[in-house]
Amino acid sequence: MTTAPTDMTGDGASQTYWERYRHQPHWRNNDDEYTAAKLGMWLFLTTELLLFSGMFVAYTIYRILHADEFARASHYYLDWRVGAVNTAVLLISSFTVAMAIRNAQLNQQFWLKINLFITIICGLFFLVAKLALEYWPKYQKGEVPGGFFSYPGSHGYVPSDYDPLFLGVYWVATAIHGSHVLIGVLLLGWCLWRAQKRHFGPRHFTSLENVGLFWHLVDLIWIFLFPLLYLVG
Amino acid sequence: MSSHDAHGHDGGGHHVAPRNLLLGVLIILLIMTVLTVYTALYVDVGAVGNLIIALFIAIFKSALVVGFFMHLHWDNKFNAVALLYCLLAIGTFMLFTITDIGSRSKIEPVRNEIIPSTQVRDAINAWKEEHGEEAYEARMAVHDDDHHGDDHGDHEGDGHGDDDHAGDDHGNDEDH
Amino acid sequence: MSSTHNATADAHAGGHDDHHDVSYLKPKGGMMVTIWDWMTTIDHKKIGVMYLFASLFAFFLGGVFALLVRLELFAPDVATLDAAGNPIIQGQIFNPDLYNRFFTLHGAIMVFLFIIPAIPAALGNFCLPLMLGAKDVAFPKLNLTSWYIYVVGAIFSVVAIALGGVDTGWTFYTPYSLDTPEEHWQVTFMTLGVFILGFSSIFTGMNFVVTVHKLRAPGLGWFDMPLFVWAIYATAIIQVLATPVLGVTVLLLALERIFKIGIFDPSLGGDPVLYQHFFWFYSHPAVYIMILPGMGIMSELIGVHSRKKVFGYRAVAFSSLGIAAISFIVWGHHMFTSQDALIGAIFSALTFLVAIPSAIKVINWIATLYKGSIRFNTPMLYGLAFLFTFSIGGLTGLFLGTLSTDMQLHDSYFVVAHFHYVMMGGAAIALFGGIHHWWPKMFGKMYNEPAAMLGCALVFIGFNVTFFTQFFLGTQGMPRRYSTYVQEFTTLHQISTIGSWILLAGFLVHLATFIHSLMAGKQAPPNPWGGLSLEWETASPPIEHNFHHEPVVHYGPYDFDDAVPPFCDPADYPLPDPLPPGEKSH
Repeated sequence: MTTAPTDMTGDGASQTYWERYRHQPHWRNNDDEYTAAKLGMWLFLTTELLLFSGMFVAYTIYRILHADEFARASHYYLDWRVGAVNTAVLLISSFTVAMAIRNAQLNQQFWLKINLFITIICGLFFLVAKLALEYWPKYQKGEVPGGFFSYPGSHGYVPSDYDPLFLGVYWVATAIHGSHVLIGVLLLGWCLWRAQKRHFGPRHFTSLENVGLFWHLVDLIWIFLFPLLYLVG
Repeated sequence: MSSHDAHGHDGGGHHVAPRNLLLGVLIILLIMTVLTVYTALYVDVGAVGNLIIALFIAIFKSALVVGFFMHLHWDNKFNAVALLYCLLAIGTFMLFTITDIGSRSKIEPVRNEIIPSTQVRDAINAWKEEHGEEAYEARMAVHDDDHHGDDHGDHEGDGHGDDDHAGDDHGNDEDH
Repeated sequence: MSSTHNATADAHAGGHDDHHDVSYLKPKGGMMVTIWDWMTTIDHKKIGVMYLFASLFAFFLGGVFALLVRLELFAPDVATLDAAGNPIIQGQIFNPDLYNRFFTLHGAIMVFLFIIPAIPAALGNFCLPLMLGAKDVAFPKLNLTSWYIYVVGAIFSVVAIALGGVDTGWTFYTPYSLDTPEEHWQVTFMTLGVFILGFSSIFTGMNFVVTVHKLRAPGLGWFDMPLFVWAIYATAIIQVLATPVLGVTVLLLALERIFKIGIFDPSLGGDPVLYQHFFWFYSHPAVYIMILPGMGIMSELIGVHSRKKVFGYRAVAFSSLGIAAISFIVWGHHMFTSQDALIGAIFSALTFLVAIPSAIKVINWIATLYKGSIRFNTPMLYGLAFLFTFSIGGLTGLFLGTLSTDMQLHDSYFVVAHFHYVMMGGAAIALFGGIHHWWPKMFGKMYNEPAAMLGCALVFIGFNVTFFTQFFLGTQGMPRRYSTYVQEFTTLHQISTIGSWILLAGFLVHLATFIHSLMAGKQAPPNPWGGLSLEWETASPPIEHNFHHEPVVHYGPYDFDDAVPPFCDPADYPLPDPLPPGEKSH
């Protein structure tokens, strides 16, 4: 363990996975493989940001064109409390996943699993809150996008012509984000399973780090979606 | 990328983020979230002003996440370059598209005319046909305990939640 | 100085028993074992070859649709009344709806299944690690994944064709693309197919960027890389940064069709021109995804086959990055007629910037040819053809980039001719030059040179006959995408159609040459062209792990004045003059 990362020292049998991990044959050493994987992940994150940028551009355009209608619709259809709680939950999960990586780097196997577990619970909480408090009631009331919009209004609220459009942006942006949360939770589950088998440690935590980066991206997107959708005007 | 001699506490030669720093960042992020909500609900500096405040806070928050949670502060600088170039591309995308859509009306007003959607009126008429005109009037009646939904200002979460839902389930008896 | 061969220089094709030394093409066992081996391979060479055959098949399919389009346009549809007063339509081979499907499928297949993957994913996959002296790309499993994503995307497109085909044009403009009744799933399938193909492109791009950053052989600095690698690198950056926007665009279009979300649908408050912004933010950079690798191939063809250092290496390398950067700020020139005039003027001005790096490249290639020892073979012929056709394509692009002239030429055959001169005359011709250049390396077989040169000549003539006439048609007012025309255009259209047949003949000659080469071609030497970049330092075809030992680089990829190419007889490659050290050769 006190040798260079490239060396495979001792007999593999007595070592855990991360101790005897050796890079794939086309790399020169473990460190090159690690930095390359991380660079690849960052490039992938830029593609994810650009994917979401489409939604942000659409949002911005329609927000400019229909500022008042969007403000009204946002106030009426969305409850900032749900959004705020979900924001806090995602921020905490981001923290725990950062801590999990730290735990792996310091070989704190127990806390690594605890932190990953908390992260997964937070992710699931986010999804459940989204489905139970937002998607399902909205679906039942007909507050759905575009051509299927059938909400007649209530309590003096008459929907404007652009409510379907606002809901369109809301549903699509949050659904794409939600699918990323789901994928992130699955990936974190995979990491937890590997952590259970002691795959991560100071010398090898590439997948954990990259899944962590992905999870932070999910958080980043939400940091922007929350004020833009829930706190308009 | 030299080989570091690892002895348990240097994370295999990679930078280990200090725990207190991560915790501090989390606390700042949570405070910032509260601040976002507070400024949006109780500080009124105009729609654009509030948007700018909200975006600045969001940018600050994401900078913290990227810098410390995602280790970019200690990372290979090319990763940061990739991120910046991506943000530049997004900025270009947004800027030019907005310039087009925002200035179309100045030169040829007809290009900015938007045919209003009939979807909403269809939805209202369909509801009226099913439940009757009076039921609709009752449904739309504004009560004292309700916030009025059609102006936007410093109220929160109005007209939202379970009573709407109940209204759909039980027809027109929700408010009687 | 004489060449210092690296550790692999003693590797010769064949004759080694060690299984690491066998050709990557050598079957692993029986037929089923071999097929399974190819299907699960993470070897970049095999994946590259599979991409090559798949994209050439797509080229064939798209070509068939192109021929059908040209066939319909051989004569105008003339309606007359017979004695009973019923209309008789003469000159119509396919009805207009079918024609719409043909040109849409031609465009969509050629763009998404052929040109975009052909050079980066096929030749790039094969050559990039070899040129860098690496054993594989950075993420071999991801590479295989993106191949399968490509296959799935292609299947979606095929399903769309089987369901009756798409008639929206390859751009899927709204609101027309939303109008096809939703129970007709072909448009949805096609857009989902494009979405999936986009991911294939993104993963390939990511893979290549990381490969170039992390897997260069010792001694191979950034400015020692072959220019093809620079071009692929620039392309990969565009693939990474632009393709996701296409992803979200077609995803929104599919959602629009399934869930009617209204973002692009004017009847629901959306803005159809926003779709055009979204689409072209990807698809204009995508034009450079198509042409940049072609330019990279050109640098190799011109440099190696005129055995001269590429003139202005750094200028050519940086112009690739320049094109990549500029490609992101010009997309609005596709919408001059539908967007605001102010932003139109800005986009017009920005569009001219593209001409600068493009011209740098063309001028440097010509300067490379000057006083070179030109080898007159198929790759070089294709190189010269590219110079001619790409110059025409590039310069006519300036007419279209000018706001005022574009108002006249927009959506006319001038546009059709322009982008065929760039995509076909640029990218496809470079691709075929590249295939001939690396064919001996890929398959270890030489091809029949005179036959290939004949094919090249036919392609060049056929191409120009087909598309040069379309410039005239466009300026005279022939709009694109119409299945018929006024009778005045008949002659020009017929010339164009005949040209398409010559083009077909050229490609058939190539097909025959390739098949003949695979069946009965002469064994290729490891370095038939005397190239200096690292892919020529291994056997033809390369061994399983590319190199016996990690190569160490001692000379640049175009230092023909300083080094005898590996595996070549020094007598055939006399170095210019043994000047004493310190003095520069002219």
